[in-house]
Amino acid sequence: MAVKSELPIWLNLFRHAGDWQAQAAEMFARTPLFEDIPLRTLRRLVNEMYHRNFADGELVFEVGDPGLGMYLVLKGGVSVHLDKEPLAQLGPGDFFGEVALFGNETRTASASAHGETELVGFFRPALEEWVDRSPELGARFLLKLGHVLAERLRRTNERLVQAENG
Amino acid sequence: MRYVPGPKLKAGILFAAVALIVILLATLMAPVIIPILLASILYVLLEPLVSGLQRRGMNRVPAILVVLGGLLSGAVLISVAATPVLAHQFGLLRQRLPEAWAEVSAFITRTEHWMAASLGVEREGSLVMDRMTGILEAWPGQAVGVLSGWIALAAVWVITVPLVGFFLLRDWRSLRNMIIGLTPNRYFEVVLGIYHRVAFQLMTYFRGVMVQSGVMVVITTTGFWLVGLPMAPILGIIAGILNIIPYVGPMLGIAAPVLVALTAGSGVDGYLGILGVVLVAQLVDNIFVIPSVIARAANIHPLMALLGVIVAGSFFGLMGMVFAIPVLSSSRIVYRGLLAGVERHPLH
Repeated sequence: MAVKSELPIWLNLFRHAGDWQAQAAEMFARTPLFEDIPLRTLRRLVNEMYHRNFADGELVFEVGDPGLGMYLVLKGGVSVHLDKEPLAQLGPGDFFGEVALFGNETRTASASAHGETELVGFFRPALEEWVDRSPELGARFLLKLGHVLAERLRRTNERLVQAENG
Repeated sequence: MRYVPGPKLKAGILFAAVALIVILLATLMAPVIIPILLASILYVLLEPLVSGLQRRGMNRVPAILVVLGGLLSGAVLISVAATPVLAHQFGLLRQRLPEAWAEVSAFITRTEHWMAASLGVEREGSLVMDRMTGILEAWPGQAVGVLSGWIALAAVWVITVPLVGFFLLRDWRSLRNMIIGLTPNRYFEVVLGIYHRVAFQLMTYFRGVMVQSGVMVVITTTGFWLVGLPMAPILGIIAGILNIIPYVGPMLGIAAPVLVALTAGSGVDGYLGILGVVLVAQLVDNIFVIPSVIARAANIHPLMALLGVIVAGSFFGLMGMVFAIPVLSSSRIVYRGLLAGVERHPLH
């Protein structure tokens, strides 16, 4: 997949933050990860997240990169791929890269922007701080994260079995 | 064939650029750098307390106000309680100084006579006495100048440090997010990871130093009280705070108790007692506190730390000595992080 050049760094200086926080909080609330978390808490938590802009085709991360956290697609799209093999096409409200929230894992697939894309990154240091500050809510989130990862593992196993059976 | 620099050289160049930017910023902000550094330490120390209050349901700004208010009230109470005692002690010191000076000069003269008789070292006049007399004659004038300068500075810091500390506690996270957000996408996670590792290291280090200071305050206060030194708590606190300065701090910490022992006329036993207390404190510090609290946080070779402290001290004085070790250990993390980033995504 062709990787296009990044947006100029100076654009980050003048980019209007807008209301991405409110939009991101509502989108995160609709994901299975945050469904048990009150919207008020999510709005505060979003202030610890990072809003990133990507040009069409720009790499978000590459397989093997050290991962620091997950991303939510706010606008545009993201294609997840491994060795040029497309794995998933994600749109607004979808999230990816959540395995990296668990530890110093390297990225298991590559992700690149599909069209002009806005992402919100939720990274391990913010998660650790949140779990420390609100252990009960943090535990609920980690439980959900465990469920999501287990579900993905189950689906991958099913695909492997299907592939083996022809 | 075109020369292509390796990742280590590229990371080195990047590191030099980062260091240059930091030095330029520090130079530009030189007049306010010390209050900002002190406020940063205040931030590191108070952040867990503010987070603790937030955990109990309090909003951040009221939590900051409660913690800062508590700290300032405590400082005011201690100052109010300590001022009359200090004034009394300074009065005693002024009265006792000529007598103490006579004792010291008699001791030096005796020593010089002994050296002349037993070792054959003889001088015309007393070199030590001449130098010390010169220093003592110049001292009152110099001391007034230095002291008034320090009082003026302290008055400015008393206002600016808590104020900057308040804004750091309230706004640092959003300011930090904005600055890190300027990083290009490709290096964003690398820079964010480096920032958090450095922040964690610095927080661990400064909290460790505060624990170390607390332990020193307890040991020296108890020790000074046991050897019968007046103002033991104040002298213990001074010794504990000065212990923050690596290598030199403990020696500076002896000066104030010795002066008080002079005013109290404690004699040789008193001085030996002070020396014993400081030695015990240093043994506990070096055997138990430093290996378990500081060494893990600093994570640099002891020789490197010693050289760093000496070099930083010669350039930036006492503040340089205090910040030499954390700056060195942070530089190590930054260089390693940059190297990992450059190896993964080569710069062109």
